[in-house]
Amino acid sequence: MVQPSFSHPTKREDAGPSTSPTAALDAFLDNQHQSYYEELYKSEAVCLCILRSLPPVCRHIILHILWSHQPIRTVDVKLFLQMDLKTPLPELDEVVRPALNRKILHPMIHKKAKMQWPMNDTFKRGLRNALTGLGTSNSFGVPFERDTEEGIPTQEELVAYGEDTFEGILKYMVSSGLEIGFPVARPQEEVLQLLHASGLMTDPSDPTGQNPNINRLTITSKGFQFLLEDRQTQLWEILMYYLSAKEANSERSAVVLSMFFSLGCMQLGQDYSASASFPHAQAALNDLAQYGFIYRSSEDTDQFFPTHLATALCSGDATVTKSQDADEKRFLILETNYKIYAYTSNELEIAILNLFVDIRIRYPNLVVGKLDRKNVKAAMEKGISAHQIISYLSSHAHPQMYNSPPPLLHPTIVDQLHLWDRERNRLKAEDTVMFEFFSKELFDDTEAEARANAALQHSIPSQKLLFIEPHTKAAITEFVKERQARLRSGI
Amino acid sequence: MSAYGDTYNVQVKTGVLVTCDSAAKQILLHLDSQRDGPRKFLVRDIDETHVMIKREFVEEIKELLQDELEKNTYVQDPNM
Repeated sequence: MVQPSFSHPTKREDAGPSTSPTAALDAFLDNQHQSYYEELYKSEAVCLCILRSLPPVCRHIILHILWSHQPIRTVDVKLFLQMDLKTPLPELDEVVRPALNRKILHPMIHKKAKMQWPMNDTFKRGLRNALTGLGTSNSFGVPFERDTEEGIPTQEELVAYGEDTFEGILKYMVSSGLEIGFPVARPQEEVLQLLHASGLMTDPSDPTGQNPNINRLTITSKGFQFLLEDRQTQLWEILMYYLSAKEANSERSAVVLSMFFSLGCMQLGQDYSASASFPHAQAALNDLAQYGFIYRSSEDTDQFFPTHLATALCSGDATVTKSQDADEKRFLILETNYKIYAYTSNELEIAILNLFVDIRIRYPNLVVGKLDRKNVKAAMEKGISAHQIISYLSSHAHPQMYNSPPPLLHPTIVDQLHLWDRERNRLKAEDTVMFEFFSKELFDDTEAEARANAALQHSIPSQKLLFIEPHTKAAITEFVKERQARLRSGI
Repeated sequence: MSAYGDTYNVQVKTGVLVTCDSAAKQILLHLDSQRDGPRKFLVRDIDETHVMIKREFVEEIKELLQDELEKNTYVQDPNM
């Protein structure tokens, strides 16, 4: 029976792949080869950011031996971690796995009866330079030499600019999915093309996806899911879509990726020179301006200011971007009777709430609504899952909600959302081929064979029924015929 | 079984294996019992949570089941 386990919804979320805000980046990096990393690690900023993204143990081990000329010996790592000296090597490999995946350490080699991991030379040089301020790649950005202090935006202005630009894109997406849209500025053409290419939006009148009319894009279920993510995750996802679009045009993406990291290491409020900082990625830098990552006072100036969207990219800690507007983000009060009070006047947040909440009352700073079956199910039809609604509700919970005893969201509501989700797909249908046997012996043999080849969908020993994957039908039939022949001749 | 050679006979059928909870399965059986002739979709009632049905009916059945479940849902008066 397809019985959902409602009791530990949080546990499942933790196990989910999208827990880290940099999940999109990690997935991309995991698929790259050594040569790609060699190119990336030429930039000191990349070395520093990748180091920050590693788990603490790995970080310590790497910093520990950074200035040594020797490779890391497994014995040292065991002592360092106070592990048993007899710990098997694969277990040690698991400890440094993140560093191995990022090609910071080469795979373990055997040398003079010692097991050791050599360190990537490019990375070693890059990180040393990053820490000592040496190196000539200018990857931390070159400040713009300005003659006057006039017209310099303050940090608050930069934050507001970045926020407005990025939310403008999100608003455009969400308004396309609502029956009653609200007036929004249309993002620039390149942005729309990326939204289409990434599958976040689609043109319904163009089923092939070849010649979309970018003026008539509507949001897809993937797009809805994107809206409910937290900001850091959204930013990295957009950047990765941008990067894969570049790769699809067979452009080198390493330069662009290292530019993302460089931006992540820059200072908010400082101005930089575009031509000196990113001589090879000027076009990409201009593109990023459309998403609000950087601010330029005019189109043709060499001077640019990174906004908080860019500077918080590599903090390695999702709370940084959150804390900047923590008070604004925590606005939801959810009662056990499914009523929602949202203390917000942000159009985007209200529009997102409108996706799954029946909004009844709207005051200048307060929206009152109700989670009801009709709206939640309509949202689920659009591809939003119960998990996403729950994580949205809990990440935006008002501080007052924390005053009541945990859990944060009342279990009845969480369970009800899961139940509504389950209601949609009570049937799981899969193509099958049914084999009905009369001989127990033949049934058992075939079942074992199907199980060994991962072809088995379901088996009922009492009725001697087997259900197998359709594509394996020929192979299983062959097997059955052969067994039949043997069994018959055996008697 | 007349001849002992038949012991090793095997019957093969293709279709769609439907996995569901037992309540939904009962609705499926009920839907099937109201149909006759070529409109019957049930190939085999397997066990508590599985039935096998004909492929061409899958989408139709999904919708019918949804409608049936919708009938059994209590809709609260929105003005309450």
